[in-house]
Amino acid sequence: MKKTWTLLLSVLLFFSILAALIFGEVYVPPSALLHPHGVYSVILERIRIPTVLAAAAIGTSLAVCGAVMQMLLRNPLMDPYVSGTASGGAFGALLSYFLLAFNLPFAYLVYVSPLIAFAFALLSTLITIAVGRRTGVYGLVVGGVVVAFIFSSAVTILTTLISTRFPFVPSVTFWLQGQIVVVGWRSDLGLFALTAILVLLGVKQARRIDLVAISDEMSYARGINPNTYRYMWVVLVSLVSGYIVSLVGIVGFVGIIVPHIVRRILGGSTTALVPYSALLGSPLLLLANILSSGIFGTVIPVTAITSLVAAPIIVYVMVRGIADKRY
Amino acid sequence: MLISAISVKLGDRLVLREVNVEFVRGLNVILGPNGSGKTTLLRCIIEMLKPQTGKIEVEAGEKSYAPAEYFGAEMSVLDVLLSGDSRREYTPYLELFSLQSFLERNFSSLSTGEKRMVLIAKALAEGDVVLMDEPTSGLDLKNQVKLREVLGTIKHKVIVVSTHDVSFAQAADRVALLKCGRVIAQGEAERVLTEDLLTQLYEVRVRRVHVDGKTLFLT
Repeated sequence: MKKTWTLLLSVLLFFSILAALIFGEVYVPPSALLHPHGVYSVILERIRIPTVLAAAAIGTSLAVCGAVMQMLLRNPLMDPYVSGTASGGAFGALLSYFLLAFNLPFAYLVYVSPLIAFAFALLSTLITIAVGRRTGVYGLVVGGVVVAFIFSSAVTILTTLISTRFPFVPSVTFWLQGQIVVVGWRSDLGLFALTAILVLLGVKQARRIDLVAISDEMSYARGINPNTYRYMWVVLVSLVSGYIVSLVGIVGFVGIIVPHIVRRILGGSTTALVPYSALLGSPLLLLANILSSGIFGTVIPVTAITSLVAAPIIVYVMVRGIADKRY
Repeated sequence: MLISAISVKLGDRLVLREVNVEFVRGLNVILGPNGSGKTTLLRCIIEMLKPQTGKIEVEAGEKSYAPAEYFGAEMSVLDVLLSGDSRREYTPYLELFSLQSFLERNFSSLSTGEKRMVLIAKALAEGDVVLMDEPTSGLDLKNQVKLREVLGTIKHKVIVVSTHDVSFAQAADRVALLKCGRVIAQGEAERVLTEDLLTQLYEVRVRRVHVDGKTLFLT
């Protein structure tokens, strides 16, 4: 079963990377992939390849973040978007533009922005957990929505201020709904490093994550303080989400869709959830990104597409899953 | 295991007051009504709660815990057993409770009693000091008897069970009666499970009768 799915998902990943290299705002014919020439070689080397790799890594990271959060918080509807992490990150990333007012050179923003995004991603996640912890499964979702509301309105206020004070900063409307259009090689490095750490740690810690999901008492008896353990992961998830938001904006729901599918097919142990979410996250986001970046003749934010896929899943989980106490 | 003068305050409520209790190898039962502090005492032993005063000396070795409440995660029984990466031999304990055929089944789809048996088998396999919170709740009569028999035969581990079930306490090597956060009596089952002490413990008249060589407790 697992071998078949590994093979199947690897094939899917291969073809989705191929498709993502071909389709985009500019169509690159398959022949140009094998023998890049002229304008195509520039597009592929400078833009298409690093961006596709980034999208693949982002898909993997968001899916794994979702899977781990769902286990540790015992809630199948958690992902960095629902938990408010991404909204906090977006607020932080936008806030960093105001450093321009203190004469910070525009080029440095690339380095500062992820850090501030991380700080606010962490803050927003902690608020969500504080609000939702004692109120059960729905509490976290409601807490996350409230936190997301707060930071979205803060973001709206900021964007208005930014567009009047710094007219040279490009519009952020699209960015707020996720836009994986151009990501450079330099950003790829950080992204790959974070994705690798996240996936490796997730695989290595899978059995411990399972234990913390099952029972706090059993964790304590095993010598794991479940609360400290959860916070450790919340920091890592916020770091990853903050970095992703600062690069491509808010990409939502990948963390709900992917682990949900994996859970249906291969069961809900972290030992299956992390590796297979990692493997399925990439093609899912790559395909969503192809749809979003011009195949309909115009660019659509990618969260507009992922949320359409996620909505039925959320409804399903709410109506069936939790009511059945299957999670 | 020696617990000396521990007091625990949760919020404004003093849940355990100067509790002194000793647990031996074999089966120990903490008997008490709802809200008497049984779970709190177990949680102190795994260091989930820190007593304000007093200390707990525990035998060397791994601790394990079968909780009263847990999350019915959607994973196979095998994954539940392997969670926490303790890497023990589970088969003998699964066989004791006839759970060998359960490994591939989805933990979340098991009945309450079956889930509990799985967590009990896991705890018994993993721990040298095994703590169980209300292990008989949700079990049918057959499994209650089975559990009592099995726990009564394991003499090389320190097993501490909290329960309000008097008949379960009869199988114990040592019983501690807990009421309102105080230990009102402790010692061998035969000596502690008297009509007077149980009546005092539960605040209902308890009678001890002998039928067919067995001791029964009636209210």
